Amino acid sequence: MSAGYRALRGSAALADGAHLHALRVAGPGAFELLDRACGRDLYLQSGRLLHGLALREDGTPLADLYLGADDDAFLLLAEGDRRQLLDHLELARPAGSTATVQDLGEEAGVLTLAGPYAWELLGEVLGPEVIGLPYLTFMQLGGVTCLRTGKTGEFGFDLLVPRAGLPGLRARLLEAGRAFDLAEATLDDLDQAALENWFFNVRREGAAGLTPLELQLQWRVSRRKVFTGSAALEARRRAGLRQRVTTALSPAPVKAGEALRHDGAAVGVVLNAGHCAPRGAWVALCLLDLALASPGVGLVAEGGAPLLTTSPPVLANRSLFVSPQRHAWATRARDTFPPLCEGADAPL
Amino acid sequence: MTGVGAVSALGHGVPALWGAIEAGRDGFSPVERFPLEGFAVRIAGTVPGTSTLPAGGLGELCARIAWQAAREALDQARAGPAGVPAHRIALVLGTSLAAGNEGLHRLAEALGDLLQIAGPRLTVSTACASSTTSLGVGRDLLAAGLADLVLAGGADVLSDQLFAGFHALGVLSAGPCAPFSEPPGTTLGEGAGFLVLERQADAAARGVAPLGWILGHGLSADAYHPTSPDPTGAGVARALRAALADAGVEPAAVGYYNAHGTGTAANDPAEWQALQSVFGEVAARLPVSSSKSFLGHAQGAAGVLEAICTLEGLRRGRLPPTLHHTRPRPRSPVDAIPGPGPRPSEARVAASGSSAFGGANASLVLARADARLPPPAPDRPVRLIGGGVVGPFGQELGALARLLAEGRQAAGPTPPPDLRALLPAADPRGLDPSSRFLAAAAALALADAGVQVRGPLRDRTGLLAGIARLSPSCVEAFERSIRERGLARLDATAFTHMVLNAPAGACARLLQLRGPSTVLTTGPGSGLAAVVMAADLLAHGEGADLLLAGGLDELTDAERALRDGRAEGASCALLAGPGHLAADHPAAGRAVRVAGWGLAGPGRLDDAVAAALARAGLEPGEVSLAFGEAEPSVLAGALAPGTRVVRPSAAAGRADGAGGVTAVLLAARAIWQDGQAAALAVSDQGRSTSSAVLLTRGEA
Amino acid sequence: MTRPLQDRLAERGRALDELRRILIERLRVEREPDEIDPDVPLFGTGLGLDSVDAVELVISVEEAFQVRIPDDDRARRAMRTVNTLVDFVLAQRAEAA
Repeated sequence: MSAGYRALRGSAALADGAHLHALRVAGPGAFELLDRACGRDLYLQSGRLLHGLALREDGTPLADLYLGADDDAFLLLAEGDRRQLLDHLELARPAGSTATVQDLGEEAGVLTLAGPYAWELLGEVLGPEVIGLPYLTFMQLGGVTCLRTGKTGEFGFDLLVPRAGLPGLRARLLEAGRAFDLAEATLDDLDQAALENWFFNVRREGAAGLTPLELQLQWRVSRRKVFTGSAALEARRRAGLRQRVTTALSPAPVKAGEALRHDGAAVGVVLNAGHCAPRGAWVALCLLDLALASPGVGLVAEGGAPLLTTSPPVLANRSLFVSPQRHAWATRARDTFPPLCEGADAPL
Repeated sequence: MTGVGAVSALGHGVPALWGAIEAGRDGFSPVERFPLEGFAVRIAGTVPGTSTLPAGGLGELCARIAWQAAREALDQARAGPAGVPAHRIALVLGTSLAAGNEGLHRLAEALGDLLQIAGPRLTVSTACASSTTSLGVGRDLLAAGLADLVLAGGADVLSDQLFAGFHALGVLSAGPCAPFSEPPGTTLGEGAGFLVLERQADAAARGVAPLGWILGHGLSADAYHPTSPDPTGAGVARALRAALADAGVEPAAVGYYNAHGTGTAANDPAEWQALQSVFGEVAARLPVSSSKSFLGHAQGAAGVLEAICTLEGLRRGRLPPTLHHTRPRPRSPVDAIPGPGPRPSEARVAASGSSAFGGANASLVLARADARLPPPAPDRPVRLIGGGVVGPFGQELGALARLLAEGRQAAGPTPPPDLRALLPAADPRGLDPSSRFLAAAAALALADAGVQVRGPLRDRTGLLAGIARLSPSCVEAFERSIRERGLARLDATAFTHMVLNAPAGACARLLQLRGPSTVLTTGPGSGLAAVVMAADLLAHGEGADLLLAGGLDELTDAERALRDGRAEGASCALLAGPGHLAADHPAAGRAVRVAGWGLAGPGRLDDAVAAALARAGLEPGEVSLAFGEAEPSVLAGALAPGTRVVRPSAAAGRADGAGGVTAVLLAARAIWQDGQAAALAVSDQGRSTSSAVLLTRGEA
Repeated sequence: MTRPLQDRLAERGRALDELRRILIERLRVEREPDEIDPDVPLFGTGLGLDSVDAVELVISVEEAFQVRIPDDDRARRAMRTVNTLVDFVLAQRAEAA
């Protein structure tokens, strides 16, 4: 288990958010532009965030988006190819719109903080206001745009920080984080956590040429409106769904690309896999024939590893039980929490 | 404050209440009033001696304890019939449900009759913040000269439905409520409390010594969630800041805070967060306690009972403690005054806050009798800059005006407004018709004025609504769930809609309006009372630049089928204080001045009109047109002969909530469209209150 | 596919459909049944239910499946996604049988 992963699951971890692109969309027609570029109904109260998806015309995902709105502009924090996303937004521009799409990457960078006590550490560094910040909301605090997000199953914050202030904030988090057993997490650590907690990874299974129908991402697309990719989705719906992603666990190593068999028949393929240290098992995101895309089905991977499909998340994350209203890092020893999984050691 | 009265779980009378606080004894006991089958919680803070209800049931119990508390307060203030003329005494009652789902205003009317209060009788209903707000409204009525003595407070009683609703929400503690401490959870209570309020000079003239002062009050909306408080505490902080500004008090001068402190995991940390943000460094030294650890959560009566605990504590120099504070939670007040007994203190000024379902927050700043009083409130001009209507005639005021001119009645039911078109970024899923009507009318009013509420203006834009009853479709859903599933398994979501202010909360959430918000009910004419309070708040209060004053009506299926002349829908007027609109703003050109307003007792519309004229500095002869539900003969004494009275109901149908606001909008239209110099909106309905609003042509 | 597995998947499918019906009818999720994916989170993100909905979900599931969802850690883990809730319900039933 890497130090970063351990901190992510047990205390707080700091990661570089270089894989995230921050964009600002403003001006006449900005709402209509985003309404077309993003599959979700854009119910955007000021200060709230939506977890959305940008699709290509063929219905495959191009970017994983957090969308926020304040009174002047829309904020996007996107994961995916930056260039393609900018082109995608340009194509969604309504006729005559003079909306501006500004890449904030030049002026600001992103830091990611995640873990069951991330809220408390951030409260010490940025101020107590962030402690109560609800999931999928954002606020400005001392020049930092603080988004309560995360794709790890733990309390998570993406911090949009002006470039000049980035090293300073990073140093302050590391310094204050010492008391929280903070460690730095890598993108691999974040990706592994996302896999265990069934957060869509646009850079991995997102690149498999599937649509939200197979990816179980229908909640992120509206059926009420026309948007880029909606026609392809409707066509796929009419043709009938044949496969679906399903999570599976294995005691033996599994890797992406391995074919999967059930009763000797080819039934699917591994899209993404990694080692889940707390469970001592490999977790795999599999694309399976619809009839078998359900928990409790035994599979055999090309390399011989036996798998059993399961209902993700595969961990009972500590963040599910830690409450900013009732708990604190200092009292963690006397607060009792269930283990991350049956049989795992209680404290990480 | 010259009189105080309380009936609560701690007993009958203020001495009983304070005696229990001195003794460190809570008022909790096993509930005997109704069966507890299926519930995991068995205790509550019921009024002693009420395990068996009187023949009239809960309504009768509520009226009795309200009468008792009111009598105690009036007696202490020596405000007998010989003191202040009956028509100059006002009653402001805060109640969440007053033991019933229909006719919330009737308790105030019955109480007013019993106590011979012939001035305005207002009911404020913002769930658990009701009586905190009613004290503030009472203070404002005095400041505006609309009464010479106000009996303000609240009453609510514990019903099996209320118990079941809170139980279903999972917020009740199995043991006695332990605010800021483990385990989280609240205990329900009940009671009634009243304060007698007077202006300093009037009390002095009557030879009555003040017990203390209400220095200021503040309101806000969370605009966050139907039941959960904004966890950042921003809404509570806004109300508290507004109250401190109203009182002219620096945060550092506050020596004690009486918290809402329900004990729930959602409320307590959010409230402490708010206190930290308002008081800064001082928060760590501020004594903060929750009287709910003694009283339980008395719903609409909670705010006044807690104000009484605060006042008595200040007077005696002994701050009421927090009971059961044995295992403090991490994010909770540093000094929660752990009990059992009160703590000696020199505090002169204290604040108290309440937060409610629907996201309504209210704060009060109270002071000892020897405190310095703030200078009189400013008197700022108020304008009406836009309006929105949703009714059987459509969504155009012009269409209604044409029908009126032609003497025709709008036909058919009110079509449901298309919120997706009006508010594309607002999530309309799961909204009841009442919330849809009000949000649509509010959005139309803002659009009519060409006002975009954004940035810091959101914190200074509020909504005051006059609502005559709970959404009938919500009541039906709630009652059905009890019928089909039993009390112990009722529909928790449906329960959260069982507060009169739910549509106002939803509207504030959908439009992201975070300024002052409250709900008034006076039965028919409720909307006009809301316009009066909105105008008054903009003229004298702190915390708002723009206020939507709305009225709302929803019919049951049966009523809709009856086609008996009743209508449903909503109307909103957008009122603005000074300095908000630039001279070149589209709304500035047709701005209408809200020149005067008045409230008076039932059947005394002439008093209300006279007050409005006096405020506007107009003579009766200068007004020749009025809109509203009133007999022309009633106006004969107050206005010149020949004054025309147009009844909006003749075209729009009878609308208890919206009608009064529609009358105001028609009066405004008569000024900017038809060139009238002045026009009145009046309401002379029901047994609560008569209201008048006078509009004049006014430059921006 | 073996017969027992077929039966198990069929039983699971019925439970899943029943839960989807509850989500649409009782929790006011404005979706067609087949738009509610089995691994979709119930709260916060995903279907976006809140704490008040949780109460209604517990009551509705208890009623429809004749099971008891206790107010404890196990329930917390069961209430994460449509599938984890189906897992819980099926396990409770198996225990009862």
